[in-house]
Amino acid sequence: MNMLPANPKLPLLAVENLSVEFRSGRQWVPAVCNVNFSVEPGETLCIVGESGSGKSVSTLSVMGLLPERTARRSSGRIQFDGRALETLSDAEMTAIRGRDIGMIFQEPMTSLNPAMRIGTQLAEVVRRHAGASPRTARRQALEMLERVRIPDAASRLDAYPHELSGGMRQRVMIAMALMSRPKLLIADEPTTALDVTIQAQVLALIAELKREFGTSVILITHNLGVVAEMADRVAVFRAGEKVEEAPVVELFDRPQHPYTRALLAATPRLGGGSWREGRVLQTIDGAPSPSVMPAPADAGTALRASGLGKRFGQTTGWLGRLAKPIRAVDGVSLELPRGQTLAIVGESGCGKSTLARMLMLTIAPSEGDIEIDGQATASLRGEARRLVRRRIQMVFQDPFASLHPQMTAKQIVAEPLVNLGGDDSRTIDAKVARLFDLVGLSPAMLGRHPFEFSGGQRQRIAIARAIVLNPAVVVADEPVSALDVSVQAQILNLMASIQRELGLSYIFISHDLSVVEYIADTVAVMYLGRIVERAPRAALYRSPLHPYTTMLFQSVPSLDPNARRFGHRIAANELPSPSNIPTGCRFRTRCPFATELCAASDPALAAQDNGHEVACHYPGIATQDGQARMSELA
Amino acid sequence: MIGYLVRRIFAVIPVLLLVAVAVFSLLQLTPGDPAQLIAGDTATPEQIQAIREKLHLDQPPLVQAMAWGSALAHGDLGTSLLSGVPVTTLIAQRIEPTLMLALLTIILAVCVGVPLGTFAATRVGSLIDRLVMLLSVMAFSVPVFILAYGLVYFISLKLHWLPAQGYKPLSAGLGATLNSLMLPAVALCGVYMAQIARVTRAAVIEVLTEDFIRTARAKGLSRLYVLIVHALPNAAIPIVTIIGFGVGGLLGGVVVTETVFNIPGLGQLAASAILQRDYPIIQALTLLFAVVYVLVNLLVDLSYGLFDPRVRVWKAVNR
Amino acid sequence: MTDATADTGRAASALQQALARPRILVPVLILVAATVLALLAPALIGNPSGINPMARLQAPSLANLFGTDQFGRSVAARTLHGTRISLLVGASVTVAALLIGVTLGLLSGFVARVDAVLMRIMDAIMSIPTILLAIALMALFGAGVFNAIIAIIIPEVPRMARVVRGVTLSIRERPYIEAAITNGARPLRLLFRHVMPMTAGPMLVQATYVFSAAVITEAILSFLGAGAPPDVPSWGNIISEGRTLFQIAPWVVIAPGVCLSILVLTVNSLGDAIRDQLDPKLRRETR
Repeated sequence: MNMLPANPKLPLLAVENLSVEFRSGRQWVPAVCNVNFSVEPGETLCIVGESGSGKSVSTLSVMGLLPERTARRSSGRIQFDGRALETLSDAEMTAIRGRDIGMIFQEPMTSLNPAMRIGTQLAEVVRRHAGASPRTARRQALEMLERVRIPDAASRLDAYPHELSGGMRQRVMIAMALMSRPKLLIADEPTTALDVTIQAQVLALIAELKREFGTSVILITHNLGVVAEMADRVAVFRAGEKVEEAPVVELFDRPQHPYTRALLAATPRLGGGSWREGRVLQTIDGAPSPSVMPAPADAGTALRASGLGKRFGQTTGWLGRLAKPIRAVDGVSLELPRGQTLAIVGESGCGKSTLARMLMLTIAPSEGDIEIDGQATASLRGEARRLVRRRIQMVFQDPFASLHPQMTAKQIVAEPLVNLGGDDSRTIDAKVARLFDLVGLSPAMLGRHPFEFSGGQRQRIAIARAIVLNPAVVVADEPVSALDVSVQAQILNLMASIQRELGLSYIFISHDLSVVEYIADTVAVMYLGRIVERAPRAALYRSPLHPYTTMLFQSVPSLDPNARRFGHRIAANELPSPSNIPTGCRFRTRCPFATELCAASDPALAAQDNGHEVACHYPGIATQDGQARMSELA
Repeated sequence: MIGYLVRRIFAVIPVLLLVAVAVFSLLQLTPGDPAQLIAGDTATPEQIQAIREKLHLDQPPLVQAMAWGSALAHGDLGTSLLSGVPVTTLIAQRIEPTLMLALLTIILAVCVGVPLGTFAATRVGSLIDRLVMLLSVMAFSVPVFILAYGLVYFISLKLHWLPAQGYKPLSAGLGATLNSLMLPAVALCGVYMAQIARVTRAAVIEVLTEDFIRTARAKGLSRLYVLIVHALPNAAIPIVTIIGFGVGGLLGGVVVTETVFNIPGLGQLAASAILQRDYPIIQALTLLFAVVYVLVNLLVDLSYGLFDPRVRVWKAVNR
Repeated sequence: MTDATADTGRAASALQQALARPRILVPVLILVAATVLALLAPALIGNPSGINPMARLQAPSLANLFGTDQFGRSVAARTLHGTRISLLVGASVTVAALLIGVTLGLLSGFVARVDAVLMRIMDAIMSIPTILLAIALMALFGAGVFNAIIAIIIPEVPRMARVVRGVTLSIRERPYIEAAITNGARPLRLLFRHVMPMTAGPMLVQATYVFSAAVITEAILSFLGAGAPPDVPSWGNIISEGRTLFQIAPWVVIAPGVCLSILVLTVNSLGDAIRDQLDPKLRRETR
């Protein structure tokens, strides 16, 4: 299974029997065991695996950048471009890094020196490796910034990283890694921290530059969609070992190893439908998935929000003068039928988290009212306001940060009961034990602290805490985006079966359209603080009407290597700042179909057929039908 | 940036006003008759009355405060109860040794502390690192007058390398001044240097774990270059903060050091004023030292902008 | 309630774990030994004020372990009695600074309006050098151990308050606090059950630094003649009395000087050890 396909060319990089160990106290424990992989010239190898699979560690050891005191390479040969890297001295290795092998990291926010200008950071590479003069280096830096299509590159040379958006910073990272035209580019989760539309742009850019420069690429990712889009060959890692390697089409069409098959089955894919329709999202541990159940009809309204808005004051300039406020959320109205799931979809900065916090009454709306389980909340103060929380609870994004580190699992789950329940301690104990059972945790774990649980288990605790009061509404803010794919599937299934059993209503906030399709009954798409489209799930996934929704769909990597989407160049366009919202339609600056009308007037959310609502002057224009209709009109 | 500067400078004003109020009210809050207290147990009623009049203690507190404040605004810090000399004159006479001692100490502490801390940070867990940490916790723990006597005993009395006492003014030549201040400065800088070394070490360790350091190494930059060009500037804020912060301890230490080494500076003036309850001198020196401390830390705050281009942004948000 | 027993059980095991580390165990043992010696001082060793003109300025010997001073008093006896003052001052200042500082710090961290005023006042107190403020206060209060304790508490309170406030502000922003709010925790429960336990570690570390600072400040005050009165032996005034004869009888200064340094070193090391124990980021060894 590990045999490489016969290839007459010599590999650019061949890693043989690589083992890496981590230090744990006084002992060294294996993190990567006897791993082999190679990269041919001009090839893209994707290394895919979940957290802890050893995928990043393997490439860091190729670069000789393992953290010195805590990790070491215990065996292995690394043949690169005719040289055995493991035998090189520190100085020789330093000369290869950045010159022959470039590297991009996951976090564009922290991977650039915050105190150094962009141009200087780029110029350093060629000054170091080619001995370029400051002037030449600066010129090359400018050329490279233009290459990665940073708008207004000349002025960006003197910018500091914090003045750039995440997507722009990742472009700078790519420019930096390619400054001295390395033979090999290692990209470690280069788009994980980015929004889906920006991810599409960055992946397209990497593919384009790779073709242009003939660079070989190792792309490390946990996202099978990214693999399908980018890879020539794929290596699947699990728990420090390579379990399978195959050309990309073969891997997706005929996965051999059970783990690869399980990974593919656990990944939600666009167009797969919802659990209510009997779709199954298989989990690696084989846990049962929820059975079919249609959405309940006419069971009343669990939550209603009308005209909700939030402005944040912003102080700048002389002596903290009040500048133009940011409108994080602007005129949002929602209705959540009992027993159903309303998903709110949008990219970072669209106001979805602010909206969630307003619904949770942790931040006060600047305007509008929220009605929870029939009770209006705007006029509630003090104790009455606190008691409303019996009817609405929340699951947070980060299962590591949202559980109190000094409380036991039992205390955490009991907290809402203690504050709002009015039960005696025996009843509390019984309820907590029942909930533990419901979310699939063993009663033996009741006394443990959060650090003793895995990410998935923590999210189970968080879910138990959210439903222990049997609330009408649970707001889940990106509840699975911090989890591995296999765990994500478990949590989604758990949420679905709980909804089925208890008749809960969910507000499910997410950036991931594939996840939303599995869990939601109604979907609202947010852009810059507004809902721009809202529709029943099936209608939205069948025919999105807003160009922004279409753009989101087109940005999701397909899980089919035969139907890649990002082969073409994608224009660099980014979300405008919420403090500087465009006039007229707020999407027009990114919309390829924008007209004068869009600049002049702001379209309201208007009802179309079948409960479909959209805020666009030209609904459906981004689909082929819509474009045909437009040309007829013209 | 200018907005930030102005805001920081304005933020200092209430602190200085509060210090002035605190220094003024020290005397008011004293239990019993302050004039009696200042004059001492053996004073005659006439002497007490004289003190009372001199310090305006016979008037209501608000009037006293106004008188004190307006004198302060005119640069009048009062006159010594004992010698009758204006406090400003006394300060002018004695400021040189203290200034020289403080400067020498700061230079010594920074020039030793920062490199030592940085060096230890690059070798975390090694023998050298542990040694540096042990030395710094020791230097941090030995009180300044113990260190002073230890140094006098070995360096001056046993080895006769440096004078044990006294101060040579600048008019006698910079060399002579430095010679006379070397021991006091070493004694005084122990705690300060240890603080700087510890903070530097922690800050550099922290920065070395940052992602951008890995990026810089992946670019093929050498360890030393990465340390100096990428790591240190990003570790600078906590380091300059502790340098500013330590000035407080330094100014307090001056009182002790000048007493031990018999240096005729402000510290010695303060120490003797306390024993003699020469209240205007204590008031003036407390105020002076506090103002120096506040201004030094204002400079430190303003220097943040040099090291971190984001500072004006987050400072503006945090305020 | 079962939660409470679980908590005490956990606290006990945490203490057990901490004491298993030599970096924590050794300083704790030294402090316990010093406390026992100080408490038993009157029984263990002779009168610290017993003047003996016949035995003036004797070098250390078996009879007088640390020698005698210019009045023939036993330096060992005086030093041991000085331990009582240092520990008393250190402990009382620490307890008072904790009580006042933690209250002010939590208040500042929680109530923005109080914060603005309170922190300006703290800034003002902190801008006067500790020693100078303490001696200015002593100049007014007059010499005496109790007065010294008060004069040292005042400059130490803002340092504790600052630390607690800083931790409170950062804890307040954590998602688990937001979770507690959505779980309906009342403000007081939020403060005492959710926020305060997280400030305990930094508070404890700061407490050790306050303790050592208090011991040093008291010694300096006494050394300058503004602390413990001359008839109460304290390390500071023993050194002060011995300094004139330093060249001929250095032992008078050495014994209290060494004891003072060891006590401060012990407490500081304990603080460092606790800090490293609590902060895995500093403990974690990096590249």
